[in-house]
Amino acid sequence: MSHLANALNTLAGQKLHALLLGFAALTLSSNALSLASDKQEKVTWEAAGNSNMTVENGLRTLTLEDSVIVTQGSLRITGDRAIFEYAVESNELNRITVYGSPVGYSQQLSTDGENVAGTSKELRLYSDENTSDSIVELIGDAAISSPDSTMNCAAITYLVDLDLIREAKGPCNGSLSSTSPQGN
Amino acid sequence: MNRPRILALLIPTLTAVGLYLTLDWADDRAIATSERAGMADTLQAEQTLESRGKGPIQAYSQELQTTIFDVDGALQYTLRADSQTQFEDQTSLLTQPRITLFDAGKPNWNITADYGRIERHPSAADDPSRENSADEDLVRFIGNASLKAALANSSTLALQSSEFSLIPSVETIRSDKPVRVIDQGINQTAVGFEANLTEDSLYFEKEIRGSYEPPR
Repeated sequence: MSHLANALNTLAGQKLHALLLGFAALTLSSNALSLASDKQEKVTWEAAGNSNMTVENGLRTLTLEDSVIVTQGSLRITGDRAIFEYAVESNELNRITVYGSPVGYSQQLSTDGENVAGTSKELRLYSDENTSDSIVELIGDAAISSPDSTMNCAAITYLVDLDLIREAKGPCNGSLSSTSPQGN
Repeated sequence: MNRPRILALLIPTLTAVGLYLTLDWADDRAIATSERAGMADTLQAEQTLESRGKGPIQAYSQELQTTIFDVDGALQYTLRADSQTQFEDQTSLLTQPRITLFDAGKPNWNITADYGRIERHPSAADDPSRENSADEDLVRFIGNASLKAALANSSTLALQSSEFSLIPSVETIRSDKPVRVIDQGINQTAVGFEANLTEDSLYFEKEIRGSYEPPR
């Protein structure tokens, strides 16, 4: 029985996954892109706990502990622990990983005041190597809510610049709904 | 008592009084510097007292230049200062101390401050193989204490505080005061820190605030 149940769950998960991907592609909205100016802004952070900075193998790692807040323009991430990874040679901030219970993510999508918000156990923020698009990966009990959609999945990969959910990994046992930005 | 003996006593006394007043001024200046940097730091009265030598003056010198070698004979660090006053308790007060730490014979880190104090303290190295834990030098940098990479060092790290201590033998600096670290677009402040210069690792204790400016 359990094998059959697992198989059905897997099948359902795959179908839902496919549905989510299809739906996610449709969430692209021309007037709902993240604030372009965010990427040009300073990244700032604060933490109530301690911090470590090390350099190893060409990578500078900055770790922050306890009540961490990271911002860049309208972007705001909160969590319990954050790890920043910089390439020493190029001085590029390669990746920010935040852990929390949960991690909170929010960002303004447009000057109209539309926002995207999400939560998860782990969040990774980085730029796509090819397109330079900002990517937010929400991993573990991931939830995201934008003016066009609300999703709850095991993991969600969100393209910030395009307001596009590129990938959503099941099980997605939460709600998958479309809500009007006007709240109608 | 003849005049030369009076003069011989008067000169060290005046020197000690001068140093006392100078360190008072240095403490005030360190507080002002911290406030300008946005750090809520105040040097407490007891710290002001700690920064002074104890006991009678044993020696006074100007334009100090000292070179220290490690147990293997390798150049460890050089110490320069405008003046040094040595007290009976083996502590020394320095004005405008400048230390350069060396790595494989090349200058690696430069440390400067308005004032310094050299004192002996039990070895930080907890080495069980050593039967007798020898005392080692600890240099306290007071007022505009600054660490920068030397020319031969490719690091761009710079560290500023109102006060920190250096243990030259293990190339470690630490403080419980506010600190600002700047490196490759990263600008971070904190309260309390320890930096291991041989391992390029920094630990910040609390009240972390920082920013990163993306390269243009």
